[in-house]
Amino acid sequence: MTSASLAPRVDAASAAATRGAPLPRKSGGIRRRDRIIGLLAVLPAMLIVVGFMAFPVAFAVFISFTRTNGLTYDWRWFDNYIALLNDPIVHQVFLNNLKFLVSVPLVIFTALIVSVLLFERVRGWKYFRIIFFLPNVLSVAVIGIMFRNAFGFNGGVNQALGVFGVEPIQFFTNGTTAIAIIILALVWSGFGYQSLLLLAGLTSINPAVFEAAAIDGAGWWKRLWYITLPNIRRVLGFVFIINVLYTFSSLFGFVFVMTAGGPGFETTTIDYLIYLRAFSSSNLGSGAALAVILFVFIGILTLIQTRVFKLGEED
Amino acid sequence: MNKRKVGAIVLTISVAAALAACAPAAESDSQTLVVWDSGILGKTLENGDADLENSFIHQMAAAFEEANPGVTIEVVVQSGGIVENQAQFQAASIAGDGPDVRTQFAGGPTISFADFYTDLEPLLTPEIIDSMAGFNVNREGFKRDGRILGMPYGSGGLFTVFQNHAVLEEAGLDPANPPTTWEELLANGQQVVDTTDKNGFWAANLEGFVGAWMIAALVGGELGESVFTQMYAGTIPVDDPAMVKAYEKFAEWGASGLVNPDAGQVSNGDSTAGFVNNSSAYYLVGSWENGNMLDAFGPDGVSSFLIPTLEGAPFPAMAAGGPEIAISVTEYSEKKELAGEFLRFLAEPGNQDIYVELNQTQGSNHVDGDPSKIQSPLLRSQFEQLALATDGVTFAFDSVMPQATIDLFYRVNAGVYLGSITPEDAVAQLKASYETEIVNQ
Repeated sequence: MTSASLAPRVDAASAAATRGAPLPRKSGGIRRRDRIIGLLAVLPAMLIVVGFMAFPVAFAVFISFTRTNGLTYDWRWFDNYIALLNDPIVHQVFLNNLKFLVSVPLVIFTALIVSVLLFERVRGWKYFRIIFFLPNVLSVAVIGIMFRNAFGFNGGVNQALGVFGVEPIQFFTNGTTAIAIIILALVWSGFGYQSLLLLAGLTSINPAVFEAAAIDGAGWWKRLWYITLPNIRRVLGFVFIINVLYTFSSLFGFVFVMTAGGPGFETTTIDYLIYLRAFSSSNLGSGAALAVILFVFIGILTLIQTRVFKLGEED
Repeated sequence: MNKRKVGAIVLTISVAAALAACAPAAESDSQTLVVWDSGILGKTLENGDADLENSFIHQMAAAFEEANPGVTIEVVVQSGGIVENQAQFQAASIAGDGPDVRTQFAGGPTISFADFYTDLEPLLTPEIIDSMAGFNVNREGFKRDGRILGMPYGSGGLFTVFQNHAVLEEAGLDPANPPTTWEELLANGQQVVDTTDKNGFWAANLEGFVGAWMIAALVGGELGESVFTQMYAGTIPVDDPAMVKAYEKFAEWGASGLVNPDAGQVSNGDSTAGFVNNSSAYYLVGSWENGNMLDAFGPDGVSSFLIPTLEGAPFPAMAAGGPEIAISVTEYSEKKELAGEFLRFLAEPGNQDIYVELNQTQGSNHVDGDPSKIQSPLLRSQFEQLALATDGVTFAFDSVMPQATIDLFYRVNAGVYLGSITPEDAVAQLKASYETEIVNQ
């Protein structure tokens, strides 16, 4: 059948429709029923999203414009935002978060090395795969206490240094060393999961590409640089973005357990400051305003990263 | 019925059961009173269970239940730090799921939550109010006619220096002649360091509490007992030179090398354990540690004196401390009358004597309190010293200021001690916080 012979039939069908010929009753009924079932199916999820996400976010935005202790609300327009933007503590804490960004390349580099080694099935790779993932099973509180004890004044690290005649170091009384220890804990606890993500990306590469490269005489480094990395660009981009997000929004547990944000505000992060402002003050609005600022900042940062890693583009 | 239908039914029942489990519990019994204690009146064992032998609030709960058949007192001892406990209370209160009765620190930490607490005046009799001291520190806005937001319990705590006799004697110092000024105290600490392998001082300043006690004593000696309430009222500026001077002394102390080197990272909870291992001569803390000190050193091995003021201070005979405990009833409690009855029960002189007898950290706050219940030689000696503190008792900065300023105070204390915050910057930050919380309201 040619396309020419189809044309009259299509025309006829169109003409019938424009004449208002009723569609078969059964067919329309099924569509309506499907639509209702579809709506009912998504209703629970929609209720959860609206109830547990959209409403709290909207409410947080509302209280960010007020001075409130949770019982009484005093509308203050942008007072909380202006106060925060002019607050030197907020500036310091924001800089602290930027320092924590050091953890992103560290954790990705470590995860990349581990994932490539696992991908190449080094001896004992099955055991290493489990061992590397183990820190993810531990809670942040446990990891924090482990590192706090290990790097405490009388902890294992100082005792080990003492064997070599090194005086004990107070890791947590100096902002720089305290941040370094928290970063170490972050990398230790995070690289296993990230390496599994990268490993998933690696396994999706067509093995024929590697074989062809090997035949052409490409060495390990060339294969890594010219084949592996470009092919897992999207996964790498994703891992990079979630690590940056994590740095700005999920350090609370580590900081709370290891340093409580001290000394002073030297290890306080924005998410921890939100907690401090919201719950140790008579003004929840200040904490909410800071949370909104962080939300907007993270959103912009994620958009920029998506552009940089070209995640939206086809290969 | 096919497998899919059976699966759907099972899933539906499971979801219904799960949702039912998420539903709020039935209205609690109207005769059950929930009491949250910030670890002030209650004691727990290592496993978290109530220490019924030593916990005052649990003993009172049991006695009240016995005296009032059908009434249940549910005591929850909060285990976090000051900031965490306040945060829990605020969050629970906003959610309408807080306690009926709460114990917390008196003064600022009580007044900061004025909207959450009910006025106790209608719940307590005039006789009770007249028989106990310290109600004014819990009145809304520290005003004489302000609502009473907390019932003061105990005669109050004192910030003290405990001295380890064995270490002092090893250094050639006589514990019977304690130093009378801050400078003398430092000199003694230096002698300990020079002549022994011990530290002059033991401190646990991770949270910045030590700084709070020291600043109270030093600034009180410079500006008088009401300095911090005057700061609250705005008649003395928060950045008064005396505050800067006290912080400078605190920073010098932190950098002196006389204190245990890990002071900046030892938490308050681990503090006493560090001092009782005989590694230091002096321990800056408060009378609430009386029991632990006696347990560790015995009555002949330890004594205490008030944190001394600076040399040449205009008010040298000054103590620091004051009303420490407040018991409040929440505004949202549906059992205010029962809560009031429990407070009246706690206020009975016999029950206040039980508190003294059990803890030996402060005297009774009742005019008819039995002095013979004070058996601890440390507490007796502290009362004798208090009688000599003719310049009064400074109610500390962190007992007066709004909670947000108090939290900042602890934080800058930790920073000043370590040298990461200058005294001037610390005072400037406190002033800014005070203005945000009080002046700009």
